[in-house]
Amino acid sequence: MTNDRQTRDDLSYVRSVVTRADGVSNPASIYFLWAAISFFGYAIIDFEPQKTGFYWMVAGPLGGVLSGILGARAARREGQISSGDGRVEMLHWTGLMLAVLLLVPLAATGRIATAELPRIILLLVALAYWSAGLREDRRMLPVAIVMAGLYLLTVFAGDLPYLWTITAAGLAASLAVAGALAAARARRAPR
Amino acid sequence: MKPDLERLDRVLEHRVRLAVCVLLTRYERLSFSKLKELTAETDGNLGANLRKLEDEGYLSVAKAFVERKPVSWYAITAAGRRALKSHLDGLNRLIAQAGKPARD
Repeated sequence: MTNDRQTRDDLSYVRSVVTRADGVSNPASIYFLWAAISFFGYAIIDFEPQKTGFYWMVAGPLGGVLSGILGARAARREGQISSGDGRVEMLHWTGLMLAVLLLVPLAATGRIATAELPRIILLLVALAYWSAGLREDRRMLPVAIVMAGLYLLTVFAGDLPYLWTITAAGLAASLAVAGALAAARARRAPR
Repeated sequence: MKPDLERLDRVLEHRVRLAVCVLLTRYERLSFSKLKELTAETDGNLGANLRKLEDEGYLSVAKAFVERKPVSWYAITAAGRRALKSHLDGLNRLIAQAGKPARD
C-alpha cells in the first residue's frame, strides 16, 4: 500500500465506483406522468383555450409534487438516497415554475399577446430539460431538442390546423420514448 | 514522509472500504445491494468489509423493508467522516511527495 502505484490504482478504482453511482436516471413513471400532463396541457389550447391557465395552475404544481413522491420511491427501490440531490431537483423545477409564473404579468400588462405565452413557455421548458439533461439524466437532452423543434414549428407553421394538438402529441411522444428507455434500463439493472 | 504515512488509516487502506466511505459522503444512505452493484464485489467480500467499517464505528446500519423486501441501509458516521478526511489528506500528501524529485 505504501507504494504510490498501488495508491493510484486504488484511487482510480474509487473514482470508477463513484462515477458509476452518479449515472442515475429518472424513473420511467415521471416521464409517463409528464407525457400525460403535457399532452392535455398543450392540446387544450386548440379546444378550450380559456381553460389552459387554470389547467396548468393545478396540473403543474400537482405534477411537481407527484414527481417528488415518485422520485423518492424510486430512490428507495434503487437503494441510493441523497436528499441533497432531491433538493437540487426541487429547486431546478420550482425555478422553472416561477419563471413561467413571472411570464403572466407580461401578458396581463399587454406587453405580449396572451396567445404567445405557450410558445415562450415551451422554449423555457426546453431550456430547463436541456440543463437537467446535462446535469443528471441524459435522456432529457433529446426531449429538449424535440421541444425546441416543436417551438420552431409553432413559430413558423402557426397557421397549421390543430397546431397545439400536434405539438402536444410530439411532446408526449418524446417523453414517452424517454420513459420507455428508462423502464428498459431499470429492467436490465441488477437487483 | 513518515508523518504522512502515520495519517493513513489502516481500515481505509482497503480500496473497497475506502470506496464505500467516499460513496457514503456523497449519498446519505446506500443499500447493501446498491453497494454490491457499485463496487462489483461478492456478497461475502463486501459484507466482511462493511462489518469491519461498522466495528470501527465508521458506518451505521439500519434494517428496513422496501416493498416487503428486507433492506440494509448503510450511512457514514461522524467518526467515519473524520477518519476519511484525515486518510484522504494523507493520501494527497503522499501522492504530491511521490511526484517530487528525490533530494539525495
